Amino acid sequence: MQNFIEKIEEVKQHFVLKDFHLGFRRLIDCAFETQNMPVFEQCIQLNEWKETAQPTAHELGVKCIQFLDSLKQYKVEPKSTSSFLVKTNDIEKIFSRGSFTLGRINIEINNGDVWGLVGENGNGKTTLLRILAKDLAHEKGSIEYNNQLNNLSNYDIRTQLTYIPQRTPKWFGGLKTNLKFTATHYGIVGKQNELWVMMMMIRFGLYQFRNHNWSELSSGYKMRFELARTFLRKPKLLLLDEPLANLDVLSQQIVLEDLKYMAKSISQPLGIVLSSQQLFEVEKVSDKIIFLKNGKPTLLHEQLQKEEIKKSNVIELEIENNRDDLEKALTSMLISNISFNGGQYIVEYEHTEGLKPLMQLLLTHNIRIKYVRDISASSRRLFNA
Amino acid sequence: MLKKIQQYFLENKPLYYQSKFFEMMGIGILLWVISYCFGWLITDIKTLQDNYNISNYYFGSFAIVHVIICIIIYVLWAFKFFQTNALKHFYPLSKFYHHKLFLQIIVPALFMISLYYPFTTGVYGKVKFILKNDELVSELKILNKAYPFLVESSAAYDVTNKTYPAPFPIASFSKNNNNEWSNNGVYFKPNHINGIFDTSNILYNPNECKQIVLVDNQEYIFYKSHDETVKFDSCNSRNYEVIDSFIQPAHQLIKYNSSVAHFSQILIQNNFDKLSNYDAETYYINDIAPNVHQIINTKNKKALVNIIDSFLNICNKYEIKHRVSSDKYADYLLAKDFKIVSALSNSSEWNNGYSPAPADVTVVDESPMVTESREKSVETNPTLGFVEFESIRRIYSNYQTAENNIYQFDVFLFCIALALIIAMVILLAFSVEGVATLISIPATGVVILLCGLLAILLHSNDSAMVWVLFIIALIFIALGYYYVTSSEFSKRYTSIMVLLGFYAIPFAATFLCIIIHEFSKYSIHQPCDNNYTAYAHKLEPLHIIMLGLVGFLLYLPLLKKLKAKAE
Repeated sequence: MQNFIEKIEEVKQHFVLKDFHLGFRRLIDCAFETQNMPVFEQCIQLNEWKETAQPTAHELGVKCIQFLDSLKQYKVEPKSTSSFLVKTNDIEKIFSRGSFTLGRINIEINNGDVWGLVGENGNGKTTLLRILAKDLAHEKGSIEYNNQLNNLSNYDIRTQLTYIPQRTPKWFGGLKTNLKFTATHYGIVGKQNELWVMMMMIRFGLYQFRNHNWSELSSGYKMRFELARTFLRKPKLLLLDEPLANLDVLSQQIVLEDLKYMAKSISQPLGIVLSSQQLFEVEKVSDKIIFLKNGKPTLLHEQLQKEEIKKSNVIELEIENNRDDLEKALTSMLISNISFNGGQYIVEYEHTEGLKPLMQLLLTHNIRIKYVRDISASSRRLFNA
Repeated sequence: MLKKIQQYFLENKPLYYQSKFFEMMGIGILLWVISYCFGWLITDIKTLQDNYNISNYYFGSFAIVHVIICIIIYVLWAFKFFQTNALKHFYPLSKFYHHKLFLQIIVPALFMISLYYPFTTGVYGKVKFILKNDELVSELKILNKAYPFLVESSAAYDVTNKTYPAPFPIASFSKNNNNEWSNNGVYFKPNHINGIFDTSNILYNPNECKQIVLVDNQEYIFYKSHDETVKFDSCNSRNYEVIDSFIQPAHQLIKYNSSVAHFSQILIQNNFDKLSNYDAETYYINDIAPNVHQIINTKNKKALVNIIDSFLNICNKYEIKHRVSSDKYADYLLAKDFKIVSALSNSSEWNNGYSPAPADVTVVDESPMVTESREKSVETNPTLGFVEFESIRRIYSNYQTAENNIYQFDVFLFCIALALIIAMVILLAFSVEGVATLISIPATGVVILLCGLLAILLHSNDSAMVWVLFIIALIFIALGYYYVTSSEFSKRYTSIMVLLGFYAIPFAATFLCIIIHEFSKYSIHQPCDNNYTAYAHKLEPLHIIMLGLVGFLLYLPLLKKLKAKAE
């Protein structure tokens, strides 16, 4: 209960700080937490008022805070996130020609966890996602599901594991009709059907496209539609293959933040595994990262625990000067490696103060820096390994 | 309104929304109403005269229109149905998803396909509307009374076609309360069709030998019999009339010359309940025969003219063609002492103006004059006494069909089978990926060809072959199940095997029915003749369809397993 009140207070702060877009999305999440239809109705009315009355920032803030305060009366039972959802035990996938082997994979995904899956193309990200979704068979090892899922048939398990491929299949008819159709199939019927679908459309920014069909939507909105459809199914585990591929920079951040927020829902937590090439964005929201190279997994959080990794700093750098200038500037440092990929340098060294000594040297030697990032704790460093 | 209904199904009943069940049922019901009205509107007295069996009236142009309408509706429906494919995007929660969908497809399909029934009902309704039972019965008496005096067709001058020695039958045959023929009930075969006793149509059962009875110098055999199906092999069977006993008829048979007076045949005999208050046999014995004899004996022209005039009134009412002038024709009959056949066969009558039909003249004379006469139309060379009796018979026969609501059972079977096939095909195409479906079709062809080759190579008897084919069908069904449950096979191969399993179901059902039929075989020992084989359990298409349906419903859960199977 305390969690929900805290959450509401946190969301209210967004309105106080005039972060209306973020605040409104979080407000809808709070409404979702209640699972209460009158609340949904009020939330939809609030959105319609926002869209049609064009209120001032102050008016919007006041009304939203009032709405949030009204939510405090509802009791939201937190759902346990301690038990695992899926556990893989040494799973291995060997492709028939023997050209590629994925594994062995040992991961444990809990309720509320967000896992990032990164790696270069063709290294088995999609394969792993499909194996977890039971869409692809594996040759070795086993997958364990939690008690609620374990006794179900494959079909019933798959109703609760949702896998969204990078290229989503075409659908026919209007966006809202399709969402309603899905919701009805998952037991959301009658008036609830309309309310849930409306809420989901508002939540994923699809409200104004509710009557559009597949061909009228951009790739980004198609992905949003898939997410809305998936959340209507109230999945236990959500597996997303490159969900950011078709989203603009701003949308990528919004979607990732929203996914994380929804995964950590108080009443409906779920596990999320998403693959992406947007390393830094994914790392920001992920609790754990798996890096796949030639099918072999590296768990970033485990990797970072190693002493030699802890000690070494890895900096990504883009400068206007040439390599000689850089090497001259860094001669006084104990550099273990400098590599150049044509655009950026990766500088590795051991130092307890991280980026600071490197920056001091570069500035001292008038190196013109265009871009710098400390990737010591990022999976980015593994791409060069 | 329609949008509101669709919205309701979208929000509450996704399967109904997807299958468009109520819309399709609505269209089906509308088509039923239209078919009924159509059947009603296009039926008139001419329809009854032109159609040998009104229960088949549907199988004219209306059937073609029906097929075209159904194809259009189903193409449009399938387009919508496949667009809202829940299985393509997610895993529907519904427990019996495929079963429910199957029922929601098959029921409207059955409605849509079976327009024969409302159409025929409409036809029957109109028939009952334009013809009344009481009127028909009273008219029937008149028709039958006049019939002995008239010429049925241009080919009916041969006395054996219309008469046999009178007064036969002298007893009225009847059935007892158990719907069995009473002891008096006998059948007869005149001598001229005696040949069929020695062919494959009739089987002897009784120990006693057949007794030939002479009636009016004609040979007859009297016997009691029942029908039975006898099987030659797995494909061929035939209905036989099995003779139970031969009978020595105890009746008086009076010898007469062939003449009108000896007609014992009547125009229309009714064997149906609705007209059964008119018993043709009884009526003939009690009313027609004495009346005919009285007119002939007294040479009562007035009575004869009255009978023929009454007959002609009915003909005119129903627009039945005839070439009868009652007065002239009565004169002719009286002049010829009612001996029509001999008179019309005589070419001298031709010159006297009693124009015989060209066909009859052909029998006796092939002269150029006769040939020329034959080529002239009936209108320009009318045949005295000629009536289109066939039209009358058809009116009565079709009325009886309508009154007793007789429908073609084969159509019912066809509708069920077709609806089942439509529902099966749609559901399988809907649930299984397209490539697997496409591969499964030639694969099925190959399997059937191999089975055919196996049959030739084994060169075994029919019974053994049926067993082999049944086992092969079962193996395919089992393989479908094994592939789905095993993780060793790819999803595509599994899909193909499951489809082959589904295709094998109707074959398995057919072979199983044949095997059960074979098991029910028993042999009847014949003391005077060879043994023959009979079957306690008939091979009914309906049993095969029902068994196939049950098999399909039991196999349907595999589609869910297939959908959930990992690749």
